[in-house]
Amino acid sequence: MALDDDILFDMHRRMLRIRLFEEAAGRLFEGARMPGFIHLYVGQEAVAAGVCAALRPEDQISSTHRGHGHLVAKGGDLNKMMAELMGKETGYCNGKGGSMHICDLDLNMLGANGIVGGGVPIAVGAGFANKYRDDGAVSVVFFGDGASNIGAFHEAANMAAALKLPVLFVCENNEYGEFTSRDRSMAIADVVERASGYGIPGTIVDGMDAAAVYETALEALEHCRSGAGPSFIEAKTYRFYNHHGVQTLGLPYRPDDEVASWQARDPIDGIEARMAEAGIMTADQAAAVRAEVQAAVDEAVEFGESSPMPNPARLLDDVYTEAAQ
Amino acid sequence: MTITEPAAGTRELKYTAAFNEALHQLMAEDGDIFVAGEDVGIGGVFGSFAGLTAAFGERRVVDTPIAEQAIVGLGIGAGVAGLRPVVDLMFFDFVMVAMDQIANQAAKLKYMFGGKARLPLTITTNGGAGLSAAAQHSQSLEAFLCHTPGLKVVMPSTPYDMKGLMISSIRDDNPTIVVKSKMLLGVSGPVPEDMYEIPLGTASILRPGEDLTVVSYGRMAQESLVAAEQLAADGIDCEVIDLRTVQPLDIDTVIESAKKTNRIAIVHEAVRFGGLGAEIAAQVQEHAFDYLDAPIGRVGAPFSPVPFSPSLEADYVPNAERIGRELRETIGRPLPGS
Amino acid sequence: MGTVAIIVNPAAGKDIRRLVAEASPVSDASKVGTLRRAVIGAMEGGATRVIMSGDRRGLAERAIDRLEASAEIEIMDAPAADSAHSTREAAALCRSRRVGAVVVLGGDGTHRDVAKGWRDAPIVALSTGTNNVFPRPHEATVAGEAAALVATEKVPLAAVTHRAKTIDVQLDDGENDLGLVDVVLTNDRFTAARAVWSPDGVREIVATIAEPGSVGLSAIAAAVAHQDRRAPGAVHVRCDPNAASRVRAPIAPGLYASIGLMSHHHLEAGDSVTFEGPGVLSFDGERDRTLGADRTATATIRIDGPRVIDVGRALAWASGRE
Repeated sequence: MALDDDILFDMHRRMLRIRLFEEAAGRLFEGARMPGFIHLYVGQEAVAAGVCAALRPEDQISSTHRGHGHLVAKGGDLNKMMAELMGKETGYCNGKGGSMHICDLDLNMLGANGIVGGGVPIAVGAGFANKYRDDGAVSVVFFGDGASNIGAFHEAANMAAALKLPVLFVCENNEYGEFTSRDRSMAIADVVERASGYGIPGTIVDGMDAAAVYETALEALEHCRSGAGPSFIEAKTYRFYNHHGVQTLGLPYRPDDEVASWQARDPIDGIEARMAEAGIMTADQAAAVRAEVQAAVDEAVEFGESSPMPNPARLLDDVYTEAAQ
Repeated sequence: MTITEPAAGTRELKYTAAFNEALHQLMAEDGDIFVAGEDVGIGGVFGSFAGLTAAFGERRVVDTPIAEQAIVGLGIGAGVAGLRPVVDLMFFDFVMVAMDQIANQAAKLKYMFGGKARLPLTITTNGGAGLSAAAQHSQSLEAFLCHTPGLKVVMPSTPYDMKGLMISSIRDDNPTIVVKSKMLLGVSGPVPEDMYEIPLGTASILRPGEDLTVVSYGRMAQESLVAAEQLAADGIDCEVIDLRTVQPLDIDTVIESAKKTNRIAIVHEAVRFGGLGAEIAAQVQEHAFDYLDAPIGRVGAPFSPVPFSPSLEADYVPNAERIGRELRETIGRPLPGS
Repeated sequence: MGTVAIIVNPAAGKDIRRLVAEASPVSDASKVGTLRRAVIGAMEGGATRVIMSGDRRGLAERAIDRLEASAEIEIMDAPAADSAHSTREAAALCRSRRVGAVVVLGGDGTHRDVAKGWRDAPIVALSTGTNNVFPRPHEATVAGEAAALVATEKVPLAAVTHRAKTIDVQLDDGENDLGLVDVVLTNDRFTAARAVWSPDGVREIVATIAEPGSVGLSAIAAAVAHQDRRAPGAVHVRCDPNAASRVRAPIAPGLYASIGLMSHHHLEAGDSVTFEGPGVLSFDGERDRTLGADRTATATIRIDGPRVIDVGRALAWASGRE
């Protein structure tokens, strides 16, 4: 189970792309240069990066309202993402979806989702298509601890298990559903226990450690590809910012020292430290990657800001697919 | 759209059999089509899916848990991933159980994604009262669906339309709900053996007439036709329009007819308040106000849940006799003594 | 006088090997039930005081909810976060409180953490983990009773216990650590998902228990040699993926693997083996320490670990049959 250097560099870069993209988006939002809501993925990068590094291109992912990180990790185009967050014509969804509906079907990223748990049945449907075509692809669904309280999750988990579909459930347990703590919303501490109820094998992984997530995801994906049905990973993680927006400390629903204890386990610091310790990457190399990614993010902001707003004439386009003539 | 002439190879088929034949022919033609839902493997509750498992196997005819959200989600995900799913919700009432997946997900997917998705999903279900199935197995909920941009809603009233509309619905690249009327399941009519499409959004004129336009769909289109024949005996000549598809709505055919007859009434089985009749009436007055010689009539169910007892249910659901009475009111020629 | 402690590891039985084995994680509800039965058994055995480890999930609180208690029950303060460290601290607290016997609920990893907190703890080792070579299966009810019989001195500790062996590991940077069942050097560079479930990269194994029926990396040792848990000594195995000589062993629950063997030999108590980096050191199935290039760690076999109470013998003694 040796992690080769390429995978480590790859995950490190994916996490940095998420982090720096999100930090930039957060600043724009705070500066009122971005409309709507923004749910930042900062803190949870190791989950998206670790899982997506273990995927094949044909594997699908489905995401949540906190979905930027998943698209970045699947290889999303930062320019189109930033433009979409700004509601611009050049965005992934031509400005019609925004942060909560960002998607790239060409990358098999089936979309973020504004309804908590709403993407889980859809991911199971994609898993059905994979099994139907027998193409070896796995449908991966990211969702939070909060979504595991919603009926759609339970219906979908049961169906995936009953039909033995290649679906990997990745629960990012960040301990809060919006502004309410996990222990006030459910009587169990480990969401993975719910998988047991559906006969889905599952495990817990440290969601702040990309290498651990990667290894676990590879194993879980292998299980799905073998035809054995779905599998389940619960990643213990934490969002550094508020549910919505960019506030970190002084929030009424979570203690600051708790935030600090998770920040001390920052997943990017963690992988950089371990790579340095193993002699794989020097501090200079890490800084160079960071600078390169920052430049790409800056370019994305510039691209987004210089892009036009959507053409009003296209307001009614794409409500329906017109029949091919 | 004029009355369609039966094509060669036409024979009598029941409404359900027309539905079933469309599925058999489509599945034989396109390997990406599969059917999933509760009990579809043994043919479904009304035998709509009979013989499919024998013909196409369990891979393509998939029994699911009783889980409507997951059933529709299965269709959405498989559709986005490139298949052409047909998922069944058994009773129209169960659409409400899956409403998040239908209204928040399926309907908006393409638009939210800037047009980059295609969702060739067909949802089939059985609607309407008449079987003493009571308040949760008898509803007509099409207004909920028609109010949601992105969905298409199809409500056939004849075996012929059933087959042609099913073929169009399944070949359509949008999420489409096909509502069978439970009281029509056993009704027979001429259906061609070959495959044919009836374009979604095209009404048919079941009976041409000069005095009054009656707009309906589903089972009530047939009841309206019976009422029209009864009125004809009294010299009232109704033009009966069967919308066939209620979203998209063929308002042009309706308006053209209204301009000709100068009187119009809308008949549906759904609750009258907030029903499609209100929308059609509004559009007619917008486009043909100056042509109207009378207030627009509306026939629908009263504002209550569907009752269980056969006698109460008979009072609740519009029928030819009640429709006829209301149409006479619209045209200003009530029955003597009423 | 007669204090029994019960330590449960909330994280036990939930690691990646459950996935490999297609096993369900051991649920909190299941642990709560086990805890409750152990408390009932301890009270039946005459314990006057039961100290339970605390955790963030409130497992102990749930276990004693509406329980009619004949003993005084104390729940330790919950740690800031549930971790291996909290199990060690709970064990250390038991030592300072002069607990008569400790019921430990967990797998090999949990028992190692207890030994790190209280090296010669008198324990009843109960398997509720993923990999369970060190702890044995017992019904918690009688396990609790056996612990109480020892804690109340109705049964003499020495008569019903054996001394567990340890593998003491001294790292060249001054750090030290220990394993109860096996210490293994692998070619990994990261602790990553921690559990070891892949035969790739296993280089050296030192195992104090190599019994038929072992599961885990010590099963590789058991495939070539026999080492009873009660007998002094250990087995040292060197592996090589390219070796012609191969054995097949259950290296995790539900997972057999074929491993190439270079050599194996017996170690006596006091003997040492030196591991050379780079690699990762695993203790009782869990990757825990990275060993850089040019670094070494020395593993020494000792017989001064936990005093393991034999549940059957303790009950037999109490009933006058031993």
